[in-house]
Amino acid sequence: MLSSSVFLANTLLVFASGILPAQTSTPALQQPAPTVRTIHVTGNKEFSNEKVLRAAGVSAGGALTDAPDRVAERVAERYREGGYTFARVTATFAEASGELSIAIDEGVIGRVEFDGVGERVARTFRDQFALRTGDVFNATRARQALDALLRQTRGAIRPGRTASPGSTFTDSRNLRQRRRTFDIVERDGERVLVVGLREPAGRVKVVPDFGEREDWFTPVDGFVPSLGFGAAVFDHEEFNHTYIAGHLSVKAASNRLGYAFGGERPVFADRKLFLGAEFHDLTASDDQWQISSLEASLGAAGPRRNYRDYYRREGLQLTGAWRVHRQTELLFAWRGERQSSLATESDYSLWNSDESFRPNMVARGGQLNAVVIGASIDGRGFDGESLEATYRRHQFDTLFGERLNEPDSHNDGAPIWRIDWTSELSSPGGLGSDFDFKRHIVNGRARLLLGEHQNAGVRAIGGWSEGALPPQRLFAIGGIGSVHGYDFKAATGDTLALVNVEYEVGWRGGPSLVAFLDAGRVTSRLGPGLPPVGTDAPWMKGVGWGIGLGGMRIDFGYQLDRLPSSPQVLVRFGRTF
Amino acid sequence: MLRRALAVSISVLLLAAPARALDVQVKDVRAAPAGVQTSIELRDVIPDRFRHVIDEGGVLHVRVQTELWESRPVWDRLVYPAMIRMFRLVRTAAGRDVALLDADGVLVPLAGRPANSGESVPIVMDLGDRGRVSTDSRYYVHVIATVGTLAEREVDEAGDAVFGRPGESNGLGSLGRLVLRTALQASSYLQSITAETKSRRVAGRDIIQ
Repeated sequence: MLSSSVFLANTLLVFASGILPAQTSTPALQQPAPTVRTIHVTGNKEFSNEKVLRAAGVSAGGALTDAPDRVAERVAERYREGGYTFARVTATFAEASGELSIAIDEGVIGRVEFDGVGERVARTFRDQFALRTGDVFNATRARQALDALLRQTRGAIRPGRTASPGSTFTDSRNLRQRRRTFDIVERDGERVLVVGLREPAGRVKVVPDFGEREDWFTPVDGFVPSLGFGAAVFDHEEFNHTYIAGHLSVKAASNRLGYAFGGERPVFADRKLFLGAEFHDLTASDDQWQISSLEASLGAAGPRRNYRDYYRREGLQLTGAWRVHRQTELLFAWRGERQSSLATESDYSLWNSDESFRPNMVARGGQLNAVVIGASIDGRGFDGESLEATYRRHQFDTLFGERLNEPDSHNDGAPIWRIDWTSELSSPGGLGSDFDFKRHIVNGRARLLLGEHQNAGVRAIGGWSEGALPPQRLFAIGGIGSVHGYDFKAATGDTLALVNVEYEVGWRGGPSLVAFLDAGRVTSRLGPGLPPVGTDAPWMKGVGWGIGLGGMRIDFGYQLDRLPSSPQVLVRFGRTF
Repeated sequence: MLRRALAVSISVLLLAAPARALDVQVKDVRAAPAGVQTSIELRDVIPDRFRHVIDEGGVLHVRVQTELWESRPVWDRLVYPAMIRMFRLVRTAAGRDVALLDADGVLVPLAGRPANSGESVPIVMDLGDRGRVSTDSRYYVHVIATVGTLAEREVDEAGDAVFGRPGESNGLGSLGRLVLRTALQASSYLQSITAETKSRRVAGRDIIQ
């Protein structure tokens, strides 16, 4: 019992010594703190003398209340807080003269080496890395420089861990993090910054598709649950990564399967030539330029409004794209596919179930062998595009070009613009096609941020053709996505001219007001016996305004020639272009 | 009718264009004896939504990140790691003017309130060693400027106050620091405005001449 009490008392003392503030000496024994007469700070370049002294907590003429080691530790701590991970500080105090010397080694890099990659890539990285001999290491800036360096690898080389822990300049408190991306080791008398990298073999992604290749609800197929597959096989030398894409869908109403399977690989180091091929059996539409896949699916599944006409594509496509400039691609494709008409098979919609879907356009069936040539010019360039987006763009799912990226995602205020040209050439003679036509489309879009609360956009599309365009290739305008105030596809023809201007004022991601002006015309130059609807229609002019909230918008459109009149009200889930 | 509507639209665009909040422009990039420098100008550094902070005697934090990039046919190259400078916008002792206080405590008095007058705030940023600029290459400066009500360091200090300094706190304290830091950074993000710009491409020989 006695021994237990002694043990308990000792234990409490031990705990108390850990909890209570340390008492180094009693007041009666305390020596007066020495006075600092002069302070010498050496080796600092990144921090000013004043900043070092503030961190040290000392001043000339003041008392030195802490041991020099503690003063040095405070300065080193401040350096580490600023990202100077490898900074070392020593402090000495000469009591006789009252001189405090603070010597700082900020972590100057003698040489840079890359670990975990081949010698050729390591040499290239050494030439391109923004951190060089003589620079002071700073973790934040080093990470930013590494991110900038690795961007060109498109994920093929990623920050990793250094192979060996630094033995010379590793802080003891960091011993638990021995293997870090950056480390400084001493080799041959040089302080070498070792950058740890790793080379993953590839990346695989399997996710549900929501309109990437086929709409998830259409009147011709009903619900279309689908799965998308993407795999990148990395090339760690030239960064010419192979991309393999797959798409599998189940069409509930038509009881069919849809699929697309293909791949693409660039060749050459600088001016890349992309070569690819794909097999597919897809429900396609030429109306993708007017509204998004989400809007088309929601419109059909919700209020029973179908804003796209569909047809079936089964066959093979070979593609090529030559990136002659970071902003410019020349495009080429050969298509050998059977196109056929699709009938409305679904009777489902959430609302208006007593109405019928608008009849789907009757496509002309037959074997389409065609050559597609074209070019795309993008104001921001194609460098930052994902492998998946590049592959999909090269498939020419829409011959009118892709939509512009959201301007809100860029803060630099630079205009976002894009020009796409495509020519589809099909002939029975040389290509053995059942179709005989040539169709050309030029589509230019631009959007400009005019300030924090304003942006303006403009789109101009020109289309013309020769030969006999099948119904699935005719140009149609009117209504949503083209000229506000008119019925959907009010005019159809084999040439097209369309201009849209939009101005938006409001908060990004918040409420906004939109004003728009549209003008479009289709004409027909086909011979007698092939009369498309709306032959030589007059210019259609629309004007209106809209209310936006985040990604949603309600547009009120009017025919300019019939003002005032009842507005056409459209609910949008994104921008027109 | 169409022409009239078009004219009205263009007029609205032209009239609306000047209404901007926080703008940054690159005025110059050149090699000084000490190294390559760039001159930038910040405009409207006190946006409307932050004016009350200054009016109430508070502090606005300005973060300027500057990078020099070499323009290449594919994948531009970062020449120097980003240079980041922090400033504080405070009301001067006189109480009428607003001043910019840099990290070393140097005050740059600004006549009037820049947000009202549209006066620009010139800043010179050191980029790095002139030896890394090649005469045959072309370069541009990329600037990201952020004005906010809470600086990153204050987020850390708030975390220190609650959960102790990193060296002092235990595992739970570290978790608390992380949660608080994330929450404060999220709110700080909501209370900041960022402007970004890239300069025109400049030949290396024009920089180091």
